[in-house]
Amino acid sequence: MKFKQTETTTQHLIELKNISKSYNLNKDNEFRALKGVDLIIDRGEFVAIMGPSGSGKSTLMNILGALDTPDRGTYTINGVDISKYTDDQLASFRNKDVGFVFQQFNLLPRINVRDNVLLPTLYGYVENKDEKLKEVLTKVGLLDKINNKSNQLSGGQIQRVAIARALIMNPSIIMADEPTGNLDTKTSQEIMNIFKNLNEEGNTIILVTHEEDIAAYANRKIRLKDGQII
Amino acid sequence: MLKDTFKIAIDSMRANKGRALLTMLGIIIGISSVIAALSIGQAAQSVILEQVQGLGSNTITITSGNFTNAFRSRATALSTLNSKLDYKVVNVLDNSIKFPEIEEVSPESTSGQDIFYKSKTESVSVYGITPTVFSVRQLSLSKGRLITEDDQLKVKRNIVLGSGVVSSLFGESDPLGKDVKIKGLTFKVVGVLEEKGNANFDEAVYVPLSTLSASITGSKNLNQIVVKVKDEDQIDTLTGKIQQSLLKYYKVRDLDKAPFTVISSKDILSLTESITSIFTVLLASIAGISLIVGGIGIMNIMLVSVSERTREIGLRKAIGARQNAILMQFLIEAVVLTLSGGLIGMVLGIILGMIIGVVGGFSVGISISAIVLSVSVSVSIGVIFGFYPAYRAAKLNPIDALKYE
Repeated sequence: MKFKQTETTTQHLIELKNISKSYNLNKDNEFRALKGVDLIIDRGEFVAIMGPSGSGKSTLMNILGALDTPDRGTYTINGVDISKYTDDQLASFRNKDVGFVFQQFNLLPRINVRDNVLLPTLYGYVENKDEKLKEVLTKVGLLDKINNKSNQLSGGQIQRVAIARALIMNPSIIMADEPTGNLDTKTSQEIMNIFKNLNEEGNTIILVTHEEDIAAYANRKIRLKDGQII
Repeated sequence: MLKDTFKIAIDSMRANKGRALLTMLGIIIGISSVIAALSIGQAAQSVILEQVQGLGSNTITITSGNFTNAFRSRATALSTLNSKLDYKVVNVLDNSIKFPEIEEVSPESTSGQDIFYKSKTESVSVYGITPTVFSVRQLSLSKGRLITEDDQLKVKRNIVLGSGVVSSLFGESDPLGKDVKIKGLTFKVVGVLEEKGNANFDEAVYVPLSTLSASITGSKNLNQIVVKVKDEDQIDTLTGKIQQSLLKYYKVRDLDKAPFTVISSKDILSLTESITSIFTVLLASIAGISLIVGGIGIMNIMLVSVSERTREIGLRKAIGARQNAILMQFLIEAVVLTLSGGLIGMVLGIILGMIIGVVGGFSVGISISAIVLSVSVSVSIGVIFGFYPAYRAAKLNPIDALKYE
């Protein structure tokens, strides 16, 4: 089920309250990655999360993307608290509500563009799959490459396939983790323009980056330092 | 979903053709040798059983020596050498008042000899018999005549040849009326038997019992007495009756010390059946060990595959694959490997069985059970040995898996 349809207009899309997360480095040492983070993100926002390495931005992204759960605090999205979800509940949530775009692209090399974009549909249901496939490939401008394998594509094209894959399930948020980290400047601009357009169409985008000029595409910047928002 | 998973599994096998084939090799060898062993075992069993059944399904054989004891102790085995089974025992049994169940009694004595015809020689069993042998042993005449009561009484040197002896000594020419020599003595061929399909009788010649003791062995001892029972249902009671009266005759108290063995064709059949099936199971078990080795190979390669595709697993989890979906993906991949190996192995095993059958001279068929067995065993191996790698994949943390280099 989708939570988006049940929303009330006054509700925020994402509400983090007092989120803490620690990792055990070894038996006696604990690393506190997030120390009581509060964050609100509304529908249609384009947010850039920034910060040096070790600031907790990856941890925050993992929690926002439902890849991880916080030790303390609540994460409410579309009015539902998912901070105590089990692994399988999180998996279903990610399938329906999160579209990931990674720095490493993470396409499967042996299958073609069509199957890569449709990969999330193996694990969940989407209406009018074939129409949706055409729609998202048109958005990223790769409809003509639908039968190509990913090893026949350039880096920029691969990342565009990954964006199409992130869009196929109509997610509530698109999580982009350093999406231009492996691309040259010109291609980076193309990719960021796609994100910008997607945001203008109403998609909520959360971007993780350490580059100021990439973060400049976002409407709001959230800076992290030592596990806290500054 | 399931169709896609199969497609992924087959794609991944195609991407690593050489590795997949090497991995399957263990299963291929295992399944093919089990199938070959089973089909050869079954074929051999049916050949042996056919031969045993050819001896007659309603006979009781009395042999000198105690075979039930011979296996147990060497002392009794040696004592059997002194035991005597002679014509007097035949007279005990040939008593229609005491043994109304008996139809006929055939005393037999055998001696391994060379038989000569012109320049040709053949090693054969020479049976000293009475005319009853032909009906008791179900031997039928091809041409000429059988050994008669008259031959027996007059100690005549007449001989009836088994079909195998005829073809090796005479080829296409007619043996009737010809002279053959055994131990320097001339015997006249009076008859030829039809082929029985059992070397014991086909590669043998038949002379009167009296002639064998007088001219060839010089002994009145018999190797065995074969009794034909009128009604098959009475075979067990008659076996018991014969044992009791022979114990009395030999003045021995219990069967363990008896200098003779009484065994019915029914007992021989079930004994043979159990021995050959033990043999088949043993053969298949040895071959089955290679299946375990093959399974370990599958587990090994699946662990490699899981580790190579850690990032893929991480991605699948990130876009919403539940643990069960990942588990199924890798289990199906393992099963696709083992099932392909199993099917190849099955075909090879059937071919191997047929080749061995042709060389060994018995027919080996394709059994449905062989197909069911190879499919179910190879699927089970895939599931059993693929489970641990698949479980490891399913339990991977998506964050770590995505970062894996």
